[in-house]
Amino acid sequence: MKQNSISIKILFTLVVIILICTILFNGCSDIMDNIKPNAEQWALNNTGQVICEQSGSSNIDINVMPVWEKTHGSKNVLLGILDTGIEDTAGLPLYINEKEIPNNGIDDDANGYIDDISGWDFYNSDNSTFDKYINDYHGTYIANTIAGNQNNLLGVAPGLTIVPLKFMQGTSGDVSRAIEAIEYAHKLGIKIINCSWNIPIFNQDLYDVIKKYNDILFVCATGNECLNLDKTPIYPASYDLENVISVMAIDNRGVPYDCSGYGKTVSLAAPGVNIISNLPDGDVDYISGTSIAAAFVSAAAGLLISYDSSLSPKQVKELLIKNVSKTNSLSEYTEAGGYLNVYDALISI
Amino acid sequence: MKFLSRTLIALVTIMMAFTSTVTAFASENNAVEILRAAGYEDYFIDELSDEELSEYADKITNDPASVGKEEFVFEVDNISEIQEFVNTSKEVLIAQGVTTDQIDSMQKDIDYIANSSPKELSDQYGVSSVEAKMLIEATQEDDEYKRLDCSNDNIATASGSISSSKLSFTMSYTNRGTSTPSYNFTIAYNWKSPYVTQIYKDAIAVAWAGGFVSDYLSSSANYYRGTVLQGWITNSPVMMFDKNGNAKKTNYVTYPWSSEKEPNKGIKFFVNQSRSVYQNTTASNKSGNVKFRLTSNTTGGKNQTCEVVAQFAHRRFAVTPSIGISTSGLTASLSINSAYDKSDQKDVKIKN
Repeated sequence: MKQNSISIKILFTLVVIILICTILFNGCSDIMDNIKPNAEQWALNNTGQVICEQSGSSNIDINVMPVWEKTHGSKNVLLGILDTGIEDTAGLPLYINEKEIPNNGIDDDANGYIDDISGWDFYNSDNSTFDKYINDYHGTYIANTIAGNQNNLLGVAPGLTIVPLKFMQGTSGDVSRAIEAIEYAHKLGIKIINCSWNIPIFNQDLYDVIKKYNDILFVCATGNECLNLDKTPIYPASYDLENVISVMAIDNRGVPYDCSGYGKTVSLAAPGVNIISNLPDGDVDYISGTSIAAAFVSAAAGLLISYDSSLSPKQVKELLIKNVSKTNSLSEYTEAGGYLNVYDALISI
Repeated sequence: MKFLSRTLIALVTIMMAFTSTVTAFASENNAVEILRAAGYEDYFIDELSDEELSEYADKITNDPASVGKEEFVFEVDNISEIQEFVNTSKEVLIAQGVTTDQIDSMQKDIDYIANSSPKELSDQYGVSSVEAKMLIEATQEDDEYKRLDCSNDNIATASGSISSSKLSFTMSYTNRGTSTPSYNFTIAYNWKSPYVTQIYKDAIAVAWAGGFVSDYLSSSANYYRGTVLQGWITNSPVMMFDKNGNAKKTNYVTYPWSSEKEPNKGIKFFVNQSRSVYQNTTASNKSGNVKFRLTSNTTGGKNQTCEVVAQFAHRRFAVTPSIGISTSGLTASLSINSAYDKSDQKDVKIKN
């Protein structure tokens, strides 16, 4: 009788273990099943498919799919989108400030910002980080390119946590508000800040704050004015700092985007032409620009830090630059002489 | 015999004329190819006279160091431009010198967008349904619209947008090779697609260091019909009038840029973004050029390397415009205020 009872207990335990494993396994496998890029997402998986009437070249992509077998990003890695606002949707892992009680009008965490539940709007000085489609589409698009998982479109690192740092409306903003946002980001423990914007004139205050926070990696777009940044620098992309990485854009054949900033002072290239991603209201569309190229590199940095949290911004920058997919056409356009290869960077850790 | 001789002379003359025409044609084609091979875009080549084209081709071939150029692309955001217009009162616009006719003309375009459905705009003009939706949303007045309020140097611009108009810009020079240093400059520009704001004047500003004296040579602004949704309608005739008031048709209308000199350091060029060319028809500045000469004020020259900078400024804000020109030693710079969306400053180096 006692033996029977033990057998039943063992059997029960086994069934429970099997059930838990099945749930866990199915849960994991659901996440992994979802990690299959849409055929339009050539930057994640380029098989030579035609995008916006242009045939691509096979394997001119960021080589991220094998990385997803190891990590799709840790929620503990905070990535700040210093941009417009971001629409909060179920498919986007936005930061939640657990120390703040929503809408009680009190600065519960005493950080100087009242009810900053999910980032802050430095443009309007309030806690609403999404106001209007046309004002906040750019940040929404960048955030989804990095970490979205909706409308059958995948971000590069959907496991990361995205923090909205709104300082632009539409396509422009005041850089002094960006500096304030960087201070805020540092207090939150943000590891990477995506800067898909630029200013044409050296700004000492911006330089100083980026230099001061050398535990944050700043991933910067090189602008869409077809400038040689060696001769005509733009900022923050051209700040010569170990925690600044600058990114130019290429198309689905590996050809530089005709409006992209370039030069030997530009760190590396990444996809930035005819990139499909999510916009507010459930819309999707293609956008071109170095904004998007920077987003891919930010996401890649997020994956590396998720894989090894001890990496410093300097180390992440070196890994990304040293492990690009080299091409002749990019040798004169970038320091690295190639475009982003996330997998090669990851296995070099 | 006399008849035969005359016929022969006529025949030879015709043959010679024909041959020289063919030669000239071949040579012009050759010059175009030389410029293209040197990286000049067609919109720049189109703005050169035959004589200038030959001069460029000759110098590129025989003395490439005597030619220099810089170029860039400048983007304006159509959605922001529409938002700016619909959220600025008529009174403010009029106070800034905009006429009611100009306001009405621009309002007509905006109303057309506002009264269309995204599908209509998308089907009719080939813009994406998302772009159409955003353009329509931009036409709605927004009580909470907050204009960016900061110095122009502090404005950060996103490196990607859904709906934008792009301008290509080239500044180039040829060294005339005279004993006193002297350079012919040509600045050419071309809007690849039309912009929304058409009620102000755009500007090209140039500054130089090193004590050069300037001579204005020529300029032209080419006006075509077009809208953000339609693009440039280059085959649609624009009506203009001759001095007797008779209407004549052309594919585009040309007007000169006005200029304001700042002796020994710069020139500011201005031109209307649009012009009323026929009854209620408006044409917008699509392409054109400004040409000027810089000559050293020291006979024989000083052989110092000096900077020449240029910038394109597209006005869209109802703020009193201001363009400053300054020089320091052998460097020059421009400061353009927040009345304008402005390109980056580009510089070339010449010797005084």
